[in-house]
Amino acid sequence: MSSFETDRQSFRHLLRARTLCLGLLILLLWLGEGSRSQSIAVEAGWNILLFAVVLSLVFMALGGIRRITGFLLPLVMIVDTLLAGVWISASGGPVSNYMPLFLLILVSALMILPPKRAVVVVAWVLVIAIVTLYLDFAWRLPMVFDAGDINPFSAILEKSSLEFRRAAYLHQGVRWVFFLVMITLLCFVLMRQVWSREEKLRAREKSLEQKRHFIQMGELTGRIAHGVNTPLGLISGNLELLMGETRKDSKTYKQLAQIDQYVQRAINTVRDVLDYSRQSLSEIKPVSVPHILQAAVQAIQPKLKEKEAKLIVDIDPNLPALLAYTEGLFQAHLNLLENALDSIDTGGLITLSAKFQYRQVRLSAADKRGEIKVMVRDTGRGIPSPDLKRIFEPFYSTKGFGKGTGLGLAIVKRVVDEHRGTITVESRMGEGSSFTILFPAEGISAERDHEKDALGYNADHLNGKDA
Amino acid sequence: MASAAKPRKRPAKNPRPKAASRARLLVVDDEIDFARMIQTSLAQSGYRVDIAQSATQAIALQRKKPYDLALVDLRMPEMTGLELLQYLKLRDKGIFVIMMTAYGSFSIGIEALKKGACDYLAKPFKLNSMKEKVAEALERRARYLEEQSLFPQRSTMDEW
Repeated sequence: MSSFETDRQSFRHLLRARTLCLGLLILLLWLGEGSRSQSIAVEAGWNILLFAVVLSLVFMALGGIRRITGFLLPLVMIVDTLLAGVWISASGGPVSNYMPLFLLILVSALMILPPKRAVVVVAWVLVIAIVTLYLDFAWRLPMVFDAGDINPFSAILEKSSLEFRRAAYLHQGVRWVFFLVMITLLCFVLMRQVWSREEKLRAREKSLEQKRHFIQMGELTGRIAHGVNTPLGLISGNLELLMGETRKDSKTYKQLAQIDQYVQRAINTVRDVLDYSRQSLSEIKPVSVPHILQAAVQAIQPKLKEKEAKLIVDIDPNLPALLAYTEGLFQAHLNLLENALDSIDTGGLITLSAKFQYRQVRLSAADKRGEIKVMVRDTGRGIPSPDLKRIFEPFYSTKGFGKGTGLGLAIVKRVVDEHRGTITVESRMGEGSSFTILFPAEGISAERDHEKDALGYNADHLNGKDA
Repeated sequence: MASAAKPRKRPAKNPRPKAASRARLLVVDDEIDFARMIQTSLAQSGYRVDIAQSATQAIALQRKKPYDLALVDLRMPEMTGLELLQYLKLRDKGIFVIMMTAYGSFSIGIEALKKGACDYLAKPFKLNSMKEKVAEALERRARYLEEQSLFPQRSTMDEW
């Protein structure tokens, strides 16, 4: 699979190089028009040589030699060279000289460029062709030439009147300048594409590397968590049994309660680490946000009762489906609710609201993309402003040593980032805090899916290595 | 009102059903110590609890006598919890199943609910919260049975 990918890549490089090279060839032929030999054979030879030299130069300039391997390079070189030579030589007139080359450029451009760009290049080439035709037929001083002149420039030289010469040189000069500018621009456009594409590729490789790292981390933590969670579950369960059998005022009960407290802390730590490392493993699918939020509300219910806190839920049931990581989304909202619950005192109030809104218009009124806005507000202690900047950092906890792992909000941030959303927090000491999440309604876009595909492939690869 | 097991409406700190309404429970977990622990805990609440160490054992037990509620571990050798869940439901429509999943498999929990489980517990869980869920599930089962006797043609389970 990867070799196929390389082949396709190198083929693209090849086509791009060929396009550039044809452009340069036309330029050179154009510049050299006046001194062309009349013999078809010699001319063909020159053209072929010229083409080969230009092709190699362009390849080297592009760094294509390094990438393009196998039979493709010589094959295309030979075919192109022969084609160009024969075409150029066989055609007689000044204009028809370039038409096949224009066509070759067009075809190459269409093959390597995305549709939008291809249209641009086609328009470009058409402009060049039309201006050239105009220069050659309309602007040229008609009386200079006889009908039989094959090469107008040499005809001018033969007639050698100063006035005519001047006109002809001016004409030639305008053609050169025009052509030079157009071809330079075209080259620039194509090269820019090469640069930006390579940049993108590099960025993607980097993010893939990160993902792979996360997958490995996820596997590792998953294994650890399973190994630790089973005994922890047994310990905590048996502790509960023991505590049920012990009198509540006895010393033993207090000791057991303390053990239980610490076991719970261990369980929480394992859980948070698991949450933080697992996100990238879950799958993307369209999910109903109200369902996820309801599930989070359900999950927090027991703790809510314990603290006698009130939770007001205001969720628009008609929210559009979001392309998202189900578990991540669930976990993020659960964490936010738990956080709110931790910050309020007994009898406090938490508000969870979710609604759809149109994104603030930036480009135009027609830009009607929406977003889903989730808010979690509490009437708790509030967050001091120095902490406010850092609460989303992993392992930054304000709850005091041992009480929180400092991963809760980091997980929220990660999930929101993964969904291309934004999270903001406002807080006033003593009055409470409010977290606002904005998810773009389209969720994770197609590009993300693409990455996911690549990731899936890599994950398989990794697994294969493991096995 | 309800004839079968009906614990108190609000399951308090230690829900304990009346002795007359002793529900039959089945705990399936390959970790035998864990299963025993759950058995002890539920037996303290007054339920009659059997344990099975594997899916085959669970199926054999169910053949001998029907159960009201089963707590099934998701990850087991030879047959996954989801498969066992489907099998149990196939043999006895009246059995309610609570899945026990490893922590972090929220989507698997949802999957289990779709396949007919009535609830799921993420391990490690508090025994008290497990008891609450068991009581709630039994209550729901009682309501379901009552509905079944009133409208036998309608199946509430299918709606899930």
